[in-house]
Amino acid sequence: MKRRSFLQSLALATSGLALPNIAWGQEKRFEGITLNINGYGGDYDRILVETVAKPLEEQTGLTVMHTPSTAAAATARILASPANPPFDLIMADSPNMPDLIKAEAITPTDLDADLIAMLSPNIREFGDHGIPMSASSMVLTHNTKLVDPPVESYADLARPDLEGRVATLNLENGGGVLFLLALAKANGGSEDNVGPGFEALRRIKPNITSTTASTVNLLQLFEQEEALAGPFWDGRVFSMQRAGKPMSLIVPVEGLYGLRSYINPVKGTKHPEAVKAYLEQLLTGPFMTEMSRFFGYVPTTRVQLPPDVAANMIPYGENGLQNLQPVDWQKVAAYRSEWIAQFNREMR
Amino acid sequence: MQNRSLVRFKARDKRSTVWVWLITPSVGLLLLFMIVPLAGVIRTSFYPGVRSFGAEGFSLEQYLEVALDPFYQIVLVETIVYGLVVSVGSLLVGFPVGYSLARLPANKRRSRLILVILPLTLSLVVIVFGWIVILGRSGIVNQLLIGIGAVDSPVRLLYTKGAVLLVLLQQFLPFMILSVMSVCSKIDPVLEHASANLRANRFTTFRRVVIPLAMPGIMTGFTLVFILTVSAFITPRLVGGGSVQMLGSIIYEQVVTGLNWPLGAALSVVMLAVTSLVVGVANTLAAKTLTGHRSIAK
Repeated sequence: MKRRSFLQSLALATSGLALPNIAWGQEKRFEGITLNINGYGGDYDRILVETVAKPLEEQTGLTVMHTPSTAAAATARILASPANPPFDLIMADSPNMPDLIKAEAITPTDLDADLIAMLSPNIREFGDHGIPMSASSMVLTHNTKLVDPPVESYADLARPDLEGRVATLNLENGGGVLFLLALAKANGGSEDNVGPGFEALRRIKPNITSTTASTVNLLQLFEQEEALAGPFWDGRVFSMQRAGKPMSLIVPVEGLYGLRSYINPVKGTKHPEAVKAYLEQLLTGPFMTEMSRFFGYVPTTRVQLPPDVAANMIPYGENGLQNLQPVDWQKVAAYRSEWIAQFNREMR
Repeated sequence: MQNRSLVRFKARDKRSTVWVWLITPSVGLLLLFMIVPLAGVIRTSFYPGVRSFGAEGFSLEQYLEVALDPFYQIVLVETIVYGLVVSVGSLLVGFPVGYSLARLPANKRRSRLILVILPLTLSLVVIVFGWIVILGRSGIVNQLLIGIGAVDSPVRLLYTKGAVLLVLLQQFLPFMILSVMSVCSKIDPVLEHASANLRANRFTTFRRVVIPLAMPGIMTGFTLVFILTVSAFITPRLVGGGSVQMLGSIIYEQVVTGLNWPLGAALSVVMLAVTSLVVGVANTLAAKTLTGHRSIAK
């Protein structure tokens, strides 16, 4: 073979081999990129992986890594290393958002208007910051086999027949904060004055067997009948009911207090386009439907749920999430450290 | 003569250079991962206000809060007491185990040693949740108590101080056993035989020969268990259920949830200082006891 024809053949063969890779590279636009996101662990992360990460990986080659921790711990990690954030996206709850915004650790979401329009009206609490992934509230639950008459209000948790059989979340968990605010506001207090809430808590204290920061720990207490009644996350009560546990889900007389879980682009992420693609998939994919199916959550978007899912959701009533009582998260963030110290003193 | 001195000097000089090279990595690591972060914590503890990001200035506000609030003083004292109780408890339980392991032939010791080390290979959270299941109202202990007729209905075992102490003791016991065993295995049995020949009974031999010689191991184990206990926060949080509060939990809550890093840092510095003081006093007392025994022996 002559030198010229050899080189021509070689060039042809090389371009022939390279062509599929070039075409592949165009299709898989995020090949080789890994997005780091914190996680809530358990079924929450499982649904995220199945409905967001996996489809995105198949379509774009993007790899998503979830690191389970609490929202508070993830917030602390982001704030501790602003120059080199450990996450590209951070999942944080309403109480964590003011600090993240104040420290400019997260950026407003830069999504197309039609995607933002998919969100339920008035669901965002922090302007352009954060895409609400789910909304959960504190409800009252009791063991229907062992507690009679049923509890209807948080004040009922002070009943003498429940001595040593009430468990609650502490203020490290957002649920504990919501419980305290519900008690405070029902007794004439506010975010600026939670004293009435602590007074109400003092009446319940003789019945409290345990306060915990861990949602899973509280779940275990109810499942093992170590505790028979208490305030708990609606989605967890819903999943206990689905598993056949005799636990009630009651909207307390004091009202429904809830928070949103947001996902936010972290300032300084090296992959803004991949972050955008992740958020798009989250809003347009089956994530909301699966969250409603598993946890019974009312979706935070206008997604049309299948009839079987829509029929088995947490009973927020006709107005849905609009029934949640408003909470001033700026004040909660400002006072939380003080409330934690006070709670620890009261619970000793 | 001069040449010989020169050679000696050069050898000594070479040894000192080698010594510097040998300690450089550990000093470097300590500086990077302990001294620098510690300096950051100390600096943070002097910020005024409840947030450290964007904070400026120098204030004793946090230390005043810790010093003037009886709640923190009580928690600090209780934390130290828990540390001492668990350390003494692990010494009482762990010493006989460590000593007996040290006296075993190497082949028999190995299998028993695995049993001692095994709990250290398990996740702490798994151990704690295991205890929650065991000590719960429907747990094995309550079932046993009902089974033998000791109680009519399940009793509350979880979320008590006793439960926290028990779980902490179980977690940190291997550190005491290993420390005692490593020192006791170096005590020559001939010394115990000599003591017996001098008409000392077993208790006197144990008190005046074994204990003084095992003191370095006892103090190492004591220090390790004490430090691990006072800094524990997962066990008190999950097994104590809010009724048992230790400084580690309070610091974690203030730093991670309350984001009040200045107060969390001040509490950490106070805990470090008090812990160092307790460990220092305990070691000094042990050293004095040891010196006393040696002078009597002389």
